Amino acid sequence: MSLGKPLPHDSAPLHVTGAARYLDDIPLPAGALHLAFGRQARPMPICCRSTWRRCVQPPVWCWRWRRRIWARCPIAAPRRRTSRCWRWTGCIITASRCFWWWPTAIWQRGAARLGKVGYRPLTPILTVEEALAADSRFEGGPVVWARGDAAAALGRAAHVVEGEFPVGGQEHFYLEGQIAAAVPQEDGMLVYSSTQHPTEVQHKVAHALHLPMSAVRVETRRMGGGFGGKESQGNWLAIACALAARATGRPCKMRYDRDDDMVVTGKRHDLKIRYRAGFDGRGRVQGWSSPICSAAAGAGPVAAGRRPGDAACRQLLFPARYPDREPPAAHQYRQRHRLSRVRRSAGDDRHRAGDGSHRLCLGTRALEVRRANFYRPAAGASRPRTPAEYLGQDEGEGCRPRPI
Amino acid sequence: MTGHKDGLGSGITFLLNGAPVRVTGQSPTRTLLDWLRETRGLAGTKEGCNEGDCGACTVMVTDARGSRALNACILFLPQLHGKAVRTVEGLAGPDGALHPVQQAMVDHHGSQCGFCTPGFVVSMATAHLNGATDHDDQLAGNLCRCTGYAPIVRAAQAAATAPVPDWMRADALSLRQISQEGSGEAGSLPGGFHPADSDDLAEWYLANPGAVLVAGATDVGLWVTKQLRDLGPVAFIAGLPDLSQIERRGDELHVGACVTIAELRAAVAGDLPSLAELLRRFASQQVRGAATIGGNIANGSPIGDGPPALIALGASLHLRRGDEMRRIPLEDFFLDYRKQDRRPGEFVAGITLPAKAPALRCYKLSKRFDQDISAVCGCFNVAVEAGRVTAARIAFGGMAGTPRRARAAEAALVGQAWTEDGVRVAMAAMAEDFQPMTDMRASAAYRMRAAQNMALRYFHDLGGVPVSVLEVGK
Repeated sequence: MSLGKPLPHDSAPLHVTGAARYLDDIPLPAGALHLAFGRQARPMPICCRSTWRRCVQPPVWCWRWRRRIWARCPIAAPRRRTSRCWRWTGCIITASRCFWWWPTAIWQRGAARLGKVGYRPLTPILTVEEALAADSRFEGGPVVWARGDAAAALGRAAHVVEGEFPVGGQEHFYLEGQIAAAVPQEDGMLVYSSTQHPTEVQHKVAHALHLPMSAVRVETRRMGGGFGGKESQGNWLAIACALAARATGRPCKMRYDRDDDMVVTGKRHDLKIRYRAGFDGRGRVQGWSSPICSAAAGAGPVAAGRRPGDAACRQLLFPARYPDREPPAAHQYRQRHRLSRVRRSAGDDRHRAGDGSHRLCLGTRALEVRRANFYRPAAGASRPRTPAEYLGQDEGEGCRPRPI
Repeated sequence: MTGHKDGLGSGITFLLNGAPVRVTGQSPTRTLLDWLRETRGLAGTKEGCNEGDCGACTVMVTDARGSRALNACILFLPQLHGKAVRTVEGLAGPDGALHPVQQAMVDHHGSQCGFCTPGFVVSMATAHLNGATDHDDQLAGNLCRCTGYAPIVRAAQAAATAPVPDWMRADALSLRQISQEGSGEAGSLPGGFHPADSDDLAEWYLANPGAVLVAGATDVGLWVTKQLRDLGPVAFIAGLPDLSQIERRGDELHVGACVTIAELRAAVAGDLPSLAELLRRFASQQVRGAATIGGNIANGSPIGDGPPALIALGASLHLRRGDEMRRIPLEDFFLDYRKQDRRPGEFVAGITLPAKAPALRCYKLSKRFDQDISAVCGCFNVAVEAGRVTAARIAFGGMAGTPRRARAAEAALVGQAWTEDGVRVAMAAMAEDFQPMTDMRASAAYRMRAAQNMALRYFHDLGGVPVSVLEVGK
């Protein structure tokens, strides 16, 4: 019987002897190339003209790939190629410093820093308040997730509370940094990727190479941590490696230096969440309206269509029984490091806000307020309904984002 | 003159997991980590940050002075000449039997993603070999994000009583044998100079004043791994016999420039406990084992933790240029931001400090308690006789472009009664001493307030009131 007995991690003997093989430990075939991205030192470059061709000597491979990447990378391309897409520090500006494998990866990082880029002096937008004042928004404006008529429900409610609170950003800090490698195959591409979402990498690489997904194989044996930071952020490296591997016929690998990783890839956005909730005498929520302002900076291109804040909005709609709510996610631009998708933290904090506000008005305990708002079991059912059952339809139908 | 100064270098030799290796034709600033992973294919040692912060690259280095855990990412190959290196691949026995700490990590669920694990295991094995049981301190230089430290520390505790495996003692025995046979020879890589003693160094440095002197490489390493700088000619001075001594001369302690922070910490633990505690928080185990007090001073950083304490102690600095020696008060060495009173070809040879200073207290304020750069480091050494202050030395790091004394505050204290009111006058005077800057570590106003409050803390500290957060609940 194994019940109640500890089971060792199946990889633990490999971990403790150094035999566990992470992506960077995989020997690549001879002739492999190392890639590095150049990145903006400041927001708003006015000139992205590459000077690498003149700066570096063979054996350096150097292409101006930015346009190709933008054009072919489905997750990378902003909707409009306006100056907005350059608005965050650390934005990847070119994707083409390719060095030979020999002698070390550090050379190609050095080459990536040789590019000369000018910057237009701008007043940075560093807080949500500044962004709101400047009306600096995600392209396309805010996204509203709504069900029912929140304004009317709030108007009818016996009690209304409102307020706002911040949620701090977080760095993921996986010990193993972002890394990918691509090895050309006879009829497609083998991609090694340290990702939490191999299927997404497969999809994006196939799209970038104009291949069917079946022609792209993605292998992720193990990761040195991810914490949500390796869901979409790894796409960049995998796509760049795949494009370079196809163009050169050589295996290509890219591994961010830790410093680059901290600047280029995401964190969890810091948020400012405002709320306005209407509820009855028992604390049952009648209507809810909650703008979520996220310091998303340039997360638009990376969020793969699932905008930062959407996850928070969906969570806002589901965890308890809030009949009518309208949580518009007002995505903000900020000129600084970009941060990746909001996840559970925002939802948890929103719960706290909701519970706290009821408590303030009614003098009841948080647990009672929570209970009053639980989903009810359907008649005759032994368990509470799931959110989808409660809504009678799936998430996408029940609460649909709409532009305003 | 035994140091190699030919342009080609004769190569270096060291033991790698028990087997002798000879390295030739490599750049003298190639890091051990890169060499292990890319040239030797020993990929168990990981790169996490490449700047000596995370400990994923930890290796065990043994020499005549013992075994230490060091960060391979900021360890240049020539620093290993004549030593023994043991990586995670070399911890299991010849028959594949796991080292006790490896088995304990398996048994106590000490790994999850496993990426930090090799570094942890090497740190733990080194501590195990040295009989160290202060596990939190031993492992403060290893970062883990997913497992959590509790199961790792439990594993370290569980393994502590296991006997040291024979193979772990092999490195020291082999090195002793090599040294008895006299087969240990000078070695170098092209562009890297290995002086035999400080005379050798003085002559070479006078002829090559633009060269970089590498001691522990805990800062210079980052010039290479992060700034990607070509250092030009370099001299490797760590372990130079006549610069690595700590000597008690009467009431004074003479400390050679190449004494590591770990060695200095051990030497002052009895008589200067507050300095020893500062040196514990100075950096991680891996960095303390490599970094030298001379490097910490010569580096001239405004936020280095060594100088404020040494200035408060009234330490003097020994500088050498060719055959010329001079001794200056340490505070006079720091002229301006990153500018020191050091002539071309002149190097830091050592420091002299009082062996005892019962009134010395050092306070380090940083965002993270362990292994973080100080926002403010305040060091106080006030002599009180019959209730009156007879002398005061107060020095701060992080309050100006250099480590600096708080002269106005000192003047406000000397001759006055040692009372809280008197200290408050000195606190106000501190505003004349410093115009601190605002940066990511602290705002100017916060720095000033914190520095002033440290004086108050010092007053209560001397009065026997518990002032450290570590004393809470005791």
